[in-house]
Amino acid sequence: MELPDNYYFKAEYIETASGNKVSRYSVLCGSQNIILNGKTIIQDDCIIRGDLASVRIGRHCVISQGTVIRPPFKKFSKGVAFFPLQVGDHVYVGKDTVINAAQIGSYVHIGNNCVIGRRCILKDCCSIADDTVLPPETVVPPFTYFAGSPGSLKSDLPECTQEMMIDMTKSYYQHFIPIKEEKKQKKSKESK
Amino acid sequence: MATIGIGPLATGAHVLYSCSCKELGELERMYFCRHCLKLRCIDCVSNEVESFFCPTCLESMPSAEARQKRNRCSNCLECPLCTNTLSVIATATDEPATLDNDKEPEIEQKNDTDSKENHPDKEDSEDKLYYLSCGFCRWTSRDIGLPDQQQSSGKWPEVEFQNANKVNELIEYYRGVEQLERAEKDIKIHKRRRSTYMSIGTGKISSFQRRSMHSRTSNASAISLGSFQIATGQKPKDAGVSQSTEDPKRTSEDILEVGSEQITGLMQRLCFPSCQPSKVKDLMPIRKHLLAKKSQRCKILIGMYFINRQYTPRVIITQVPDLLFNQENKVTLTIINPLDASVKFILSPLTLNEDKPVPFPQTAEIIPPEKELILSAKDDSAEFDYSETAASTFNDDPRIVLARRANRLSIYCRIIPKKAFGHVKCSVVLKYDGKSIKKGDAEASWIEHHVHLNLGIVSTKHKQT
Amino acid sequence: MSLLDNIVLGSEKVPVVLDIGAAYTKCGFAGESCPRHILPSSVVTCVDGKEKVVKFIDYAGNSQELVKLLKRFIHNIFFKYLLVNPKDRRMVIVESVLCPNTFKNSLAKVIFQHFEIQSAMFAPGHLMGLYSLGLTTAMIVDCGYSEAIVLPFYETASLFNCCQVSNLAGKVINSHLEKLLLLYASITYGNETKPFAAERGPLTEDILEEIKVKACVSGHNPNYEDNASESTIKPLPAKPMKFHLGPSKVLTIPGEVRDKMLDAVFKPDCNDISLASMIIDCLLMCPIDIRKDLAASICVTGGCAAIPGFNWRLKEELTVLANSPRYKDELCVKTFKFYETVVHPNYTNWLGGSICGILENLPDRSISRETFLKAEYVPDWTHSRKRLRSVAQAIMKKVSGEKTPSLASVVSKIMTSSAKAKLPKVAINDDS
Repeated sequence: MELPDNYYFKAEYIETASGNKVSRYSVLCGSQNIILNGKTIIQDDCIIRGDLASVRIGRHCVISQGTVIRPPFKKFSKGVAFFPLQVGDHVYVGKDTVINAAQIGSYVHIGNNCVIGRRCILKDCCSIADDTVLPPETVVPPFTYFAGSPGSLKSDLPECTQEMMIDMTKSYYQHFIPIKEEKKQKKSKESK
Repeated sequence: MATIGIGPLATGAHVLYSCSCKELGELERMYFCRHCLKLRCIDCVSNEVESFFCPTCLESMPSAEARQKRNRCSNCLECPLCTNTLSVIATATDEPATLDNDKEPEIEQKNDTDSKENHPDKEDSEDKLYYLSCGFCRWTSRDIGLPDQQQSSGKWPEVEFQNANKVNELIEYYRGVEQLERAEKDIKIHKRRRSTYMSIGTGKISSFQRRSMHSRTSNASAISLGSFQIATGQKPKDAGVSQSTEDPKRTSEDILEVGSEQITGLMQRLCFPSCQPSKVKDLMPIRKHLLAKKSQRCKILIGMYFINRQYTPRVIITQVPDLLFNQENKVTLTIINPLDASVKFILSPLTLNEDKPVPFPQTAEIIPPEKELILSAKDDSAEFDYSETAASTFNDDPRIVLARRANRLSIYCRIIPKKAFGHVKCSVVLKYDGKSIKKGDAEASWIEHHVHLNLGIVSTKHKQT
Repeated sequence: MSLLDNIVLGSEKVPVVLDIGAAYTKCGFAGESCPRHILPSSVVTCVDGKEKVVKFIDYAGNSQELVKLLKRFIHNIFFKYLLVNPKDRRMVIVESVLCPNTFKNSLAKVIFQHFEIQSAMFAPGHLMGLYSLGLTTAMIVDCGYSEAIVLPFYETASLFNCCQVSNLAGKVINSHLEKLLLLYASITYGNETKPFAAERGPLTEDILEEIKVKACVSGHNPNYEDNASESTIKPLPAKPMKFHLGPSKVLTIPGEVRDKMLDAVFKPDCNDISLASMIIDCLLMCPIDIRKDLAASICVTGGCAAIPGFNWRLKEELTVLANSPRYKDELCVKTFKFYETVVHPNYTNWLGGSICGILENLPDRSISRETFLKAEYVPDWTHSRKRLRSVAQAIMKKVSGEKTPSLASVVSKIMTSSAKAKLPKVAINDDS
């Protein structure tokens, strides 16, 4: 099924020159440390903690409502240090997910309501089911599907995962359509 | 394979393709053979283990080593309680001094050669000891009394199977019996083939009386052969097997006393098939099991690799109105060309062969456009081109074609549901020219795929006539 | 495996040994002392977007569906657990002596046609149990999940006409446990305690199984109170056990329930058959002069035997029963002796298969792919190889399309009609 159109108020989003769309209701702490590489969507109520360490998010990513992205820390005898967090291209992150990973590869799908523990490494082309808890320092190999609490390997993914994720994130962006306030009200009335 | 829909992209239930073996599956899970020009499902390809790697450290392991290590990683360990990956935790030795003094000599004894050799330059590292800890259930290697290790990649002890020797004795014993049998057969002491071990007799008393006579004679012959030390299977004592006992063990008291959290669950036990410990304190860290990288080949044309999805035009359902029973409904389908060349295609309704039951029961009639249409080639640069100028060059009929963007083409199909309730299901034949796939083949070979569409539930709204 | 590996390691492929039980499957390589993995005999499938665990026993009759499930299951065993290529490999399949023919043939179809293995030896589980003990005379009591089968062997010959079958196994214990929990157990929410029956939560088979594994004991001798037993061993009462069913939801199992769980197989409510009476009935059917030998070499295999003190309880029950007026004069056996299995009892049958798998005469005992593809039918293990050949030829020539009846079906018929009937001539021995 083709993704349905997803409307947003133009006034509620900031669109950058490279095509990033960031909700005004999201919290980007330390925005000088946050790099969005273009055409990435960050939706309402997201929190990105760039103040702790740098956060770099690739192209064509989707960060859904209520997600928290926080660079991981490591305890040392002399204190705590935060490490930068990298997210690849074409990554979809579901709603209300907490990410403390060290690295997220490209073409990764993370479901709703997940917890990605401290210093986890998610390789390219993997998928995390809804409501999964990945304990700290978990490594998710490419082309695998993790689910459960603690998250464990449940099955493998098809070889075309990369194309599927590219298709999905691109069409998400294409169907993420700005409207003016009145128009959206009209739309919602129609649907009622 | 369990179908995994990738989030909102889970097209799975809606569009299915027919494999050449008549099974249905998502295009994503199918393979396309470049030489037979057919779709194949996972059951129609031959899988082969290619290489091994550890899912945690992602190190690959040569197959000889993997076999030797029983397909387990030598570095990564799993928690025996929750099977999460264990982390190595370093502790400084400036902990309570008493604890330290207890531990250190013990460890030094264990790997004395190592530590003595490296003693001079070990000053720094000796400050640190390592133990294993689970970040999920908080189990640590200290819980089961494993001493801390000096190296981070420490040589953690493994579960030893005490009865392995007994089993090996058994195996040797049976090998001996077998050799003896073969020797007997060779000398043709018995003309009849004896198959003492596999025969399941008729159960007549005369049968096994005769049998034991047989074996007695064979025993004698065995002795006369001289070169074999092991007697035939008449004396269990020789096999090194424990004797039968009149007093089997009762439940030991400690099992009766302890709480449920100190007794292992079934899955925890089965992680150690050899000994299956029943107490939590007997659990050991588990070595991580390797994963195999597989390769898929066509079963028909051996030696040909498969490449999937990049060869078959993909059909997706774009827009479905309320589907009214017994009426024409206009459904939009989008066809996407994954090939680097433009492709002609035509859709036609699937004509059913009455004799064979279709795996996808039809509940609606589909009338696709009769015209042959052209899909333009896939072009990665099209991503940056938003103009829809392309549409005009193809001179598309607006009654058939809704939109054309790069390698995507959205067309109208008419659907007439034939059932007043349930899902609207229909199938089409997708026929396209495979010129660009099979290069060198001058004739334009047409490739046919059966595509099955599930358009959702029939609208409950009444017909307005 | 690359060409180089074949040169370095030799092209010899170790046979794979597979024991598909009703609840758990044991898989590994021949010649090893324990299976590599023990995993549930089930497949996770996707039905309407929801994951569902499908067990093979539920599909024993539907061969088409079974073939699909087995394909997936065996695929997992080879590519996820054992990590070897199935093609041109030999296999040893350990199966229950009463394995339904549909299951056996479906499995054969999958491994021969789909996975293209070289040959398979179908070995009866009880015989493999005997192998793992290194014995020639023993009474093998296989008590697994769905059925308990008593089969005596004397000097390597099986006395199949004395075979006893019942459902007194793990599954019955689980359902008995559920009843006991409803009667005696209590559940605690924070500070509030209620009887379990009032606050009945969903108790799945998995939870029951887990409770059984953790709590089931036999410290207390139920015959002690009856004074019927000669045993004077004092009972060892088990302590109550607590289980966490969910956050702040604790199930308390009284000590007596932990003991009474085993009553399911030793003192069933509805009929006279118990595991002990099965063994004694079996002995009664054996010729009188071998009863003593058999009674002195009882070996319990299968998952139930792993319950601590299972053999002890069985012995107590046997002693009581042997002295009861019902059997006293007839049986002529006073003492019962038990063999402890060499390995953990739930994989003794697998171990027998593992031993068989490295013997050099494995190919002689196996059915090759060619033979199967011609006959498309695996004969019962009672048929000799000659018989197999003739069946295959008969089918090929289409002289007779009729397949010989399965032994299992014949046996079960006899069981129900008359317990002492002689075995029909389906079983043809090599020697005869």
